[in-house]
Amino acid sequence: MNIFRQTYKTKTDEELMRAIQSGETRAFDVLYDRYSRRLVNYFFQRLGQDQDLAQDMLQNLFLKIIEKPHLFNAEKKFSSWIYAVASNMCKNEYRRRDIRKIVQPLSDSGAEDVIKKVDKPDDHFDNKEFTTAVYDKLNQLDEAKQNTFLLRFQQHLSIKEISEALDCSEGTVKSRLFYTIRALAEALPEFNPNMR
Amino acid sequence: MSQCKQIEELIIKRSIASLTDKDEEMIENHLLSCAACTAFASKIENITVCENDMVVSPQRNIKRRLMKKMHKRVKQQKTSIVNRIVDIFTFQPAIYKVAAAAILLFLLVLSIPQLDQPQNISNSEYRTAMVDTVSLNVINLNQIIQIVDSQKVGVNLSEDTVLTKILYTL
Repeated sequence: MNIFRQTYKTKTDEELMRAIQSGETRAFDVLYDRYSRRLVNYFFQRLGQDQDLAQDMLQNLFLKIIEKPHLFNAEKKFSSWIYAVASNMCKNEYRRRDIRKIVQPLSDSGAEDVIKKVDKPDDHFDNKEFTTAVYDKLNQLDEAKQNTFLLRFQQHLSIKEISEALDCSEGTVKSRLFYTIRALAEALPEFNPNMR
Repeated sequence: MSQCKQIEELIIKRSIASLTDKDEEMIENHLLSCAACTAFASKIENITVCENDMVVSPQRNIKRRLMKKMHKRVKQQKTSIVNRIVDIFTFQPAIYKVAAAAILLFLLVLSIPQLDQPQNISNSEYRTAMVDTVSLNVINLNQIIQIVDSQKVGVNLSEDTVLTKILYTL
């Protein structure tokens, strides 16, 4: 059993997806292990840090892969496709639960991306608190910027993969990232854990 | 634009994509003498390197449930192979129907149990049986029977060719 699993582990995502399309369960097993942790954290951050909802969304996403594997276009990169599906699921969830009201993001325009500064004095920020502050501030940005930031720096997708997943140009991705990082930098206090 | 502003922009751009060697050098030279930009670079690095962000693990029962579903789907897929054969006859163009019919007929002929004991049954009996069933050319059927009886299928090329021709005309 493990030998078979090992064989699948060396396959690319696209090869695994083709195997799933032809009904190979072990391929699904490997693909799930490869993406589940990343995706549950993606949902967690996108959906107001609701752990139960993130788990449900993860399950629903992989159910789609099981029930409609033919929807995957083999010409596209799997990572771009799966994040496009995940991103659309988040959008639907926003619509359904009106989650926007909870996180209260700011307007879409870069000029208005002024996030409320963190009140805490610089000296008392440790690494974990800083990360929490980054995500708190990120949640105040509009959905497109949030999504792009998470895909790049949490999910480690390339600019090209993000542009495919979000169906926009690479220039748009770079510009969104630029304004997001700048907005976060302005909102967060000076912090250098190496100096502490 | 002041040099610090320019350097800050480059630092942000560097966190998104790689810069030219010239821009990289410019940043490094500036950072050597500017504490504020060094702090800014450090902040940007901390914003973009989210090491503690994978805080949630997928629940184990999710995988179990999904694997069950996957097994179920595979089972259904296997049973649908029969449906696919039916589809060939229902939806495919005539050429596929003819080819599929020829293959099925060939298999049918091969699997007729009487063919294993040809010496006990006369040719006319075969003739009647087969003509009644599929209304085929009697001479062709006899030829098939002879070839199959002599167990020369796959051995003699000329006889195989005859068999192929007969099946093709069917």
